[in-house]
Amino acid sequence: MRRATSKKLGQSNSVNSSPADLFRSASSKASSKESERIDSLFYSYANGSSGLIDPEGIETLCADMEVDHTDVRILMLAWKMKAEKQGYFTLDEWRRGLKAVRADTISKLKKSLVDLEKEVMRPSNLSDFYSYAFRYCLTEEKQKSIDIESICELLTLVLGSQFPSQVYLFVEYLKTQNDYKVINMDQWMGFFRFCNEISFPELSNYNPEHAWPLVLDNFVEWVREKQN
Amino acid sequence: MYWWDFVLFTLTFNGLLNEKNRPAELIARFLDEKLRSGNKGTSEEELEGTLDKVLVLFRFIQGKDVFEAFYKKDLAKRLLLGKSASIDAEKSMISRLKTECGSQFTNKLEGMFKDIELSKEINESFKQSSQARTKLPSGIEMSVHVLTTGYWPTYPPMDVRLPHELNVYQDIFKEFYLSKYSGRRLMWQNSLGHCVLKAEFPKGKKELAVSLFQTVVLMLFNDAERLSFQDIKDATSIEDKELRRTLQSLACGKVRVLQKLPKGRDVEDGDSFVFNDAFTAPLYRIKVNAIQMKETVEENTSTTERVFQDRQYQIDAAIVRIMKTRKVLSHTLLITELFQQLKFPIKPTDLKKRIESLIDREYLERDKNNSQIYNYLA
Repeated sequence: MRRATSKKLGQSNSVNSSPADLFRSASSKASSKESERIDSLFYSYANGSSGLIDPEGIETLCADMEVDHTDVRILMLAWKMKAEKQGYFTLDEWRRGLKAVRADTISKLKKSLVDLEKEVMRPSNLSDFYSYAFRYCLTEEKQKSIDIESICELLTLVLGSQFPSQVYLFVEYLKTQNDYKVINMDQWMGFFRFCNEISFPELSNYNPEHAWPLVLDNFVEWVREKQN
Repeated sequence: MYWWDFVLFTLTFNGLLNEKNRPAELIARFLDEKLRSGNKGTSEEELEGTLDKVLVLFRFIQGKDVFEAFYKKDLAKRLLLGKSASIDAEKSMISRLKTECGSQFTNKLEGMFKDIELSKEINESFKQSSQARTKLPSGIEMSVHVLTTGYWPTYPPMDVRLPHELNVYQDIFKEFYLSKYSGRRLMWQNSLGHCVLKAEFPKGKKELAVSLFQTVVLMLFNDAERLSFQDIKDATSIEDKELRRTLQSLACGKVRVLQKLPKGRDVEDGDSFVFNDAFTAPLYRIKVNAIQMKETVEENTSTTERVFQDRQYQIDAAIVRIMKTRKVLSHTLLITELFQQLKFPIKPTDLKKRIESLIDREYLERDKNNSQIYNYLA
C-alpha cells in the first residue's frame, strides 16, 4: 500500500506533464531504478538486525555527507522524512524523504540540503518544522515536556538564524529563571507566535491580558526590567 | 477592642480589606473568642448583637473560603473539647452564615453538629450494651466522638502505643460500633484524645486534665521511678517532636508533675524524667496545658495552604464547567466568566496557570488557527 503511494509520488516528481504512454513507461522504469538505489542506500546504513538506520548509522551518514550530526539540516531531513523516533530512520521514512528531495545518492542528498534549508525557512513550512522539532525531541512514552537545557539548545538550533535576538534573550531568561523546569508544546508554540507577531525589542504590542502562556508574560516583564 | 476599631476603619477601603487573607482569618478568630466558654461577661443578647456586627464585616470579605477553613478548625476544637459557651449561639451563627452564603457553605459545619449529637447517643447505647457491661476493664470511663471524614478538618494521623487497658477499651468500642454500623472504617485520631487522670501525690490527691499523649507518658510512671527520654520514646512510639513538646508540657510548664534531669527549658536526648514527689497545687482538678505556641503557627500555615490547594481545584472545576457548556471560547471571555463565578480573590496569572495546566492535561486545547481561543476536549 505504502509502496504504491510512494511510487506515485516518485512519478509525479520525476515526470513532467507529458501524457505519452511511452514516456510514462520509461519514466516508471527510471523511477523503479531510483527506488532501488534509494533502498540500497538505506541498507548501506541500516543496522542488519533491527532493519533501521540507528544513531550509529546516522553518524556514518553524516560523516559521508560531511555534515555534523547536530547540524540543523539533519533535523530538516528528519522532518522531510517525517521521522518519528529520534535517532532512527525506518525504510518508509527514508523513501519518503529521499524521494521528496529527489536524491538517490549521497552526493545528491548532500546537495539537496541547500534547497531543503530554503524550503524549511519559508514561513508556511517553518511553523510545521518548528513544532516537529519539539515532537521529535519527545523520546519517552507519554513525555509531554522537555527540560530547559535541551529547549535552549533546540531553540538556538531551529530559530536562532531567523530570530536571533529574541532567541538569545529568551534562552538567557530561561536559564536564569526558577519557575519552570520544563517547557511544554503550548509554551513552545507560544514563543513561535511571539517571534512572528510581537515587535522586538519594543514589545509595544504585547498584552499580557491576551492568551499568551504565562512563561512569556514573565519573559516580557523580565525583558522590560532589563531594558530600563 | 482595639482590633475591632482597626477593622472598622479599614472597612471603607475594600481593596485593602481584601489585600491579604488576614481579615478572613481574624474575623474567624474573633468569633472563636466570642463563642468559646469563659466569655462569661456577655449576655446572650449582647452576643447576638456582636454576631450581627461581625456578619456586616463578613460581607466585605472575598476570601470566604479562608474564613470557612479557620472557622471550621476553631469550631472543631470547641465541639471536641466541650469548649462551646452555648450550642444555641453556635447554631444561630451557623444559620446566619447559611442565610448569607447558602447551605452549600454550611453543610459541613452542620454535619459537625450532627456528628456530635449522634456521638452522644452512640455513647449512651454503648454503655447499655452487653459488650460494655461484660468486657470492659474497670476503673476507666471512655466517651468517643465518631466524626465523619470530610465534615471535619483533616488531622494528620499520629502514632502512639496505648497502655493495655486503653487498647482493650478501644477494641471493645470498635466491635460494638461495627456491629451497629457494619461496613464503616474507624480510625482513631490520637492527637485529639484527652483524658482525666487520678493522681496520688504524697502531698495530696489530684485530678489531671491532660491530652492522650500526656496520659500515655504519665502512665509509664505507674511502674517506673525514673525514665530516660529514649525509654519513653521506645515505650510510647510518639513521634519525636511531638514527644518533646509533650514532655516539656509535663516537666517544664506551669504544672510540673514530672521533673526533668538536668533542669532546663528544652528536652534533650540525654534527659531523664522522674515523678515529681513534691508536687502541690491549690486546686483539686488541674489542667496541664499542652505546649501550643509553635504548633499554632504550623497549623495556620497548613490551613492557609489547604485553602489555596482547594482554590486551585475550584478554578479547574469552574474552567471545565464553563468550557463544557461553551465548547469554544476566547481567552478574554473565559477570564471574564471566571471572575464572575469565583468567589475569592484571584489574580489573572492564577487563572492562566490553571488554564495552562488543563491544556497540559488535555482538557482544553488552544485553537490551531487562533491562539486566543480555547476548545473544550471531551
